[in-house]
Parts: sequence; C-alpha cells; structure tokens
Amino acid sequence: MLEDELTVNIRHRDGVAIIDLIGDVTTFAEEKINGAYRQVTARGDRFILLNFRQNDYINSAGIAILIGIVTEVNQNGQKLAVSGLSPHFQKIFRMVGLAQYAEIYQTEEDALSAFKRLGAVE
Amino acid sequence: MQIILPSILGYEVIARDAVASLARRCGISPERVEDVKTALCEACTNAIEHGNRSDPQRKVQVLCTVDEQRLVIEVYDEGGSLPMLPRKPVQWTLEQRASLRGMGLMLIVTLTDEVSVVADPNDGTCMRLVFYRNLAGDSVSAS
Amino acid sequence: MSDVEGATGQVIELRLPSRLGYERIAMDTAAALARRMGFADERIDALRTAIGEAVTNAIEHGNQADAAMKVVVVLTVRPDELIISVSDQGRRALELERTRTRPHIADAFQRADKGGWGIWLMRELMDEVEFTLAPGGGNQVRMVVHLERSPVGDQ
Repeated sequence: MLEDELTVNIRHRDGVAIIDLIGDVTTFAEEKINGAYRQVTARGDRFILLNFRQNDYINSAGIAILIGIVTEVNQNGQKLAVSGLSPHFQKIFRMVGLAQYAEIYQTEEDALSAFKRLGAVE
Repeated sequence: MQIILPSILGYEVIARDAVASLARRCGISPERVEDVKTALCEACTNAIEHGNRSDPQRKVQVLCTVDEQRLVIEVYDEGGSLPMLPRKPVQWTLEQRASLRGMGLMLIVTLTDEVSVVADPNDGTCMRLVFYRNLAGDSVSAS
Repeated sequence: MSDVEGATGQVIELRLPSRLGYERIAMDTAAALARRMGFADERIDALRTAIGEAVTNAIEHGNQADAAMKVVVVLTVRPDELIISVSDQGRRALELERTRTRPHIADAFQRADKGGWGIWLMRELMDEVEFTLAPGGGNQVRMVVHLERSPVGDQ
C-alpha cells in the first residue's frame, strides 16, 4: 500500500522515445523503468527522454536505477535527456553527476528541440 | 505507527499531518482524509487540554493501525477524566450552547465511523477513532 | 508554535514499523513541522531527502526489513534549528568508516551495485550529520538543519 507509486508510459514524438515517469522513483520502480528502457531500445530508439512528472520523491535507490540506465545508454550509443524535474532534484542530479550524462531540460518541449538539433527526426 | 507529542497546543497539527500522510497513502479518499484530520485534531486537543491539562511534561500518544477494513487511531493522554461522548446521530440543533469541548466531541462522533473512550490502565484515557476503509468517498457531512 | 519552545526544545517522536514506504510518513511529518517553523521550501526538500535516506537505511540495513522492529524518529524543535535523530534496533551495525566515502558516478558505471549514495546525500544536504550507536544498541544518525532567518533586523 505504501510502495507502488509510479506510473510509466512510453510515447514517441519527433523521433524521440519519451518515457514518462509519473510519481515516485524508489527501489520499487526498478522493473518498470528498466522494462520501459528495454522496450524502446528493442525498437531501435536512439534518442530517449525521461520525462519526470509529480516526483515528490526520488531517493538514492532511484538514483542507482537511473545510473543503471545511463550505463546502458552509454554502451548502446544512445542519447539520454531528462525533463520535468523540480529544482531540488535537478540539484541532486548535478551533485551525483547524472547531469553530465543526461542533459537536464525544464520541459519536454525544450528537450525535444535540443534533440532536434542533435538530429532526431520523425 | 506511533506518534508522541508534548501537551502543547499547536503540536496536534504535526500528529494530524503524520496521520494524514498515512491515511492518504493507504488509499483513503481525499474527502475522508479531511474527516480523519479534523477528528484527530479534536481528539488531540482534548487530550492536551483536558486529559493532560496542558502540562508540557505529559505526553499525548497517537497509535495508528491499518488493516484491510479499518484505520484505527488511538489517542492516549495521562489524565483521568473520561469525556462523555454524545450519541450518534449528533443533535446539533439541540446543542447550541455546548462548550467548546462539547463541540469537539460532537465533531468527533459525527466524523468517525466508530468512536469509544476507555480508561487506560496507566491512569490515562484512550479515545479510539475508527474509520472504515471501504467507505472511501463517503464523506460524512456535519449537517 | 515558535513561542512555546524552550532552549532544550520540544520533542516529537515517531515510531515506525520497518517496512519500506513508511519513510514517507517520516518525510511528510518532518516537512510539515519544518514548514511551520519557517524553513524555506528548498531546505524542506533537502530535509525530505535526508530523512528519507536515513529512515530507509534504518529499515533496510539496521533492522533488515523486519517489520516487527521499530525505527524511531525524534524531531527536536529549537528556536533556531531542527534536530532529527533516526535510530534502528541494530540487527546489523553500520560500518562507520563507510559513512565518510564520496561515491563517484564513473565508478558506479563499472559496478553491478550502483547504489551507495544515501549517506553521502545526507551529509551534503544537512548542516550537521553524525553517526553513533543508539542507547539501545542500534545505529543512530543525528542530523541538524539550521533555520536561516532573513538578515534584516537580526542581532
């Protein structure tokens, strides 16, 4: 009852795979996030956006899951960005070093235009 | 889950926020969570002012248990005066001249699904508030 | 509330079962208290993260997720600071030297276990963090956040 507070959706826009992470990213999110990543990777997506929404709570276990995604993104030659993070979690992503591997954008639109400059197309 | 507070007015809102967090996270509807918050605040205020006579050394203890059917909140004080609870359904119109404490007790009876007061073996009083989880959405109106 | 705390501070105690998810109750309760004390939103967010990590550690590590074991969170309200102590019943002791390491993301890429950020985050986000043995024999962490008041009219 107190555990599962994350909904994960996959969408595609302008050649970018958008993974919406709605809710809390903690240890309980592991299967959902890894599953979504595997799904877009199997499809051959090269540009991936993790779009955070309603994230009150991202903890160190959630950070470890995201580092796992970055590890694979680097190995697979994909490009990862994040959007929708609150100022607090933007700060934490910078402290941890995640921001060096996944560019932080305020909004989904900002991230999509940046991906477009990198060559993402429909 | 258990919360222990000093008997100082104002601290009941901390217990309220802790219990609201639990209630919300175990799937009780937002309207019903408001009922839980109001009833709990009244019970804590009663425990602080009447049970513990606002002696900061005395503690108010709030014990919450959740099962499939119910959220049970027990509020313990260290005093000995058992409040008299009005009967359901509360006759608001007949109690126009009730004291503030009386109003608080009427609110508690109106907002909870079950409520009882028992003397605690350690010379205190325990007020036990019960909220049914399957009534999610049926906010009790105070009319 | 600010006119009622003495120099020693008023104490609110929260006892939680060692089940993941209950750390959220501690986070919400401490955040509600900090808001009433007048902490800025940014500090409250930091506090939420630090308490979440401390309670999660106590549940998972100290109490080995045995739901019958309690995690005790003591919030002490002082005029100029909030002190948070989190203790477990110490099924497993924390290796104190490991509470001082600074993890690096590049190392994490190489490891199977990509975790180990919790205690470092607590240290980064709180003004004071100290690990000790709890009186009952478990692990205890004591964290302090100072209430920064606007400089106008101070002293």
